[in-house]
Amino acid sequence: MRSVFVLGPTTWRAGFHPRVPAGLAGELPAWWERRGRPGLSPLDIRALLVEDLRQEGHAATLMELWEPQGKELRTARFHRIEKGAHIDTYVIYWPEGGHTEGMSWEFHGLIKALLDGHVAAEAVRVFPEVGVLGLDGETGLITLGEKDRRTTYFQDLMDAECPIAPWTTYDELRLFVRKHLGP
Amino acid sequence: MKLPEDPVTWAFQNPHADSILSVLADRKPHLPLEVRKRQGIAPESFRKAVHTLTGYDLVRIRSRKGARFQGTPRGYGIEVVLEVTPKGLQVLDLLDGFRGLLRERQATLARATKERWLTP
Repeated sequence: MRSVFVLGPTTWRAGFHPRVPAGLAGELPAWWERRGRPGLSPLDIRALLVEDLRQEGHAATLMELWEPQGKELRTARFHRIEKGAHIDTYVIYWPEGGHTEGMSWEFHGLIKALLDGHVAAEAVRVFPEVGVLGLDGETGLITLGEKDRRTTYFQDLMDAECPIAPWTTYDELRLFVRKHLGP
Repeated sequence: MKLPEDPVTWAFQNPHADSILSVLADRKPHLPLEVRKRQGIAPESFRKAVHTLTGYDLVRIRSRKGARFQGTPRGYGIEVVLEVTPKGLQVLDLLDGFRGLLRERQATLARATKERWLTP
């Protein structure tokens, strides 16, 4: 059993039309209260992944399930969750079209922890949608899909040798997350 | 097509999983192109097989030591290597066991079965 922190974007970029099947809304867990606009947000998908992992016997959580204490800032809350939930594994859901500002902050913290040796590369599992990152069968290169949205964290994640599993459909994403964290 | 929950079921069905895992069984990093060409797999079939192998956590993709993202004729990319994971070795062990069983009963097998499992 793992204690999993499910990270990733919360909202879609303005004007982006995500390819999230509408039917997934019916699979959202009963404990999850959807917020904001119609259609599933990346945050809703993360809640779905948390439920999938809980069904598999893991303890999984989201930052959004932990209310800030007093004037607590984001970094302090992140570390409180890591300690309070005894986090030993990080799942990064990385869809095309997600707002990555919050993710960049999470990446920064994780990469620092990786470099300091506080977190093992095996503990950070990255799930980019193929539009974000994918293997080119012709050249054998990993290629980036989202033009003008490159981040230095791609290179950092590759250097850190964190397991990376690109996905193309939400069925695949959910299956791959379960398989990466299972026996 | 929806992938099966069980990676062993997929590996038995996929025509390339076995050959890719076999090349990686030495536990050394291999360039994807080297694996693809050595096994004579078409680019798209290879991409799909590696995609699913990494999804099931049977194969790991990591950057080649010292490689950096850079512009290439096919976009912004980085050189990577493939490595087998402990789960991948377990699946390969099952496939090898099955192949051994078939070898023992070769005389009773259909030609297609021999071609699929016993032809190097």
